[in-house]
Amino acid sequence: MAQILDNNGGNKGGKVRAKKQSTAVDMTPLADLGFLLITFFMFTTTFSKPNVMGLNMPPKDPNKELNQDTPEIDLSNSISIIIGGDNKLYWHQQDKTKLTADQLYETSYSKEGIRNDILAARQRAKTPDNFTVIIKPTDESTYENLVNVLDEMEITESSRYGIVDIAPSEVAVYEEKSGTSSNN
Amino acid sequence: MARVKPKRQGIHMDMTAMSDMAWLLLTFFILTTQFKKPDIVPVTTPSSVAETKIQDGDLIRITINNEGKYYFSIIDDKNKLPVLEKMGKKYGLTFTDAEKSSFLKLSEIPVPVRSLKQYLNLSDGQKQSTIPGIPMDSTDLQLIDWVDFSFEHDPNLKLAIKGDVNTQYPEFRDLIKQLVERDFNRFQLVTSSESKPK
Repeated sequence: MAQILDNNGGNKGGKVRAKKQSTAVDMTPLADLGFLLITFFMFTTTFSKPNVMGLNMPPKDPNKELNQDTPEIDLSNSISIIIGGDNKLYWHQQDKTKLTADQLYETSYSKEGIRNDILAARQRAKTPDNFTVIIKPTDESTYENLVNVLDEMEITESSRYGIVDIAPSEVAVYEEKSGTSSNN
Repeated sequence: MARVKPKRQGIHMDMTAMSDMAWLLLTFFILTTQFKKPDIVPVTTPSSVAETKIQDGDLIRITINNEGKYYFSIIDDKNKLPVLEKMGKKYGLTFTDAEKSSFLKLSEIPVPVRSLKQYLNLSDGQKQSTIPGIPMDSTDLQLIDWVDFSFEHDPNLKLAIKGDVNTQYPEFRDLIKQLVERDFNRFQLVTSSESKPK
């Protein structure tokens, strides 16, 4: 590929002067190749690194049993999100024992779905500073569903949230709701 | 007398400098790239808007695949052998040097510790086909032992959890529960990136 410049062109007649031969090699292909490889390495390095999402769980509480039945939290200051199977998502703002299927609202993972519900609930909250999102995944939900909901926490800037085991009474309502909604 | 025709001369630029720079940058990228060890289990991570990049150094990772099997990885090579030794001590196993060097090449520990010795002696082809996962249930908490010994060796480690898109939530919950039980409360969930909606 590299070509040596041919400088001894016109030597017909006249004095032929021994011209000094230039040894300049054409560097263009070399530079091309270099940049091509750079591009390749740049793309492969930057995109192979995954992101991480922090998740802090509350430390185990030795007095858990004692604290369990003291819901001093104002219901309007919290929203419970129930992650169902089949990529379904529900939310309610009731006490878990008094929840009925009418008060469990179905929503979706789309932009207009849970995100708006969280923001609207926060607007309604009496003390928005204390607004808490309680995430309750059911056994049918997948890890992706959970990550998506945690992602919504990040997007809606809800700094107070927790992942909590779903209560049996809520499971019953969820099953009733998901059973009825699949019939429709 | 024949006239000397002026030869048409193209515009010539000296590319030497440019190519020098290109190769210099290339060398830099090659040297800084860390090639990923081949993953033993294929895992598709869910995407999130999280912007923190994973820090490879002081990291241990638990992988849950779509069948709910657990795998354990120590990312930093310097932590691998001490943890393996602690683990061997607890389960009464000693490893030969050949097995240790084979262990260093593993990106994930895919078998229960008792079959680890046997697994390390398998050829590369066979390694692909035997991936039963590390047990983590009420009778056998080997996975948690791995985590425990890693933290015992280096308390500054960070614990990452890499789950598959189709991992069922109970598998994840059980893992978290067991970890919280041993006072590991801070996790990093490995996700692929996604742009943040405005």
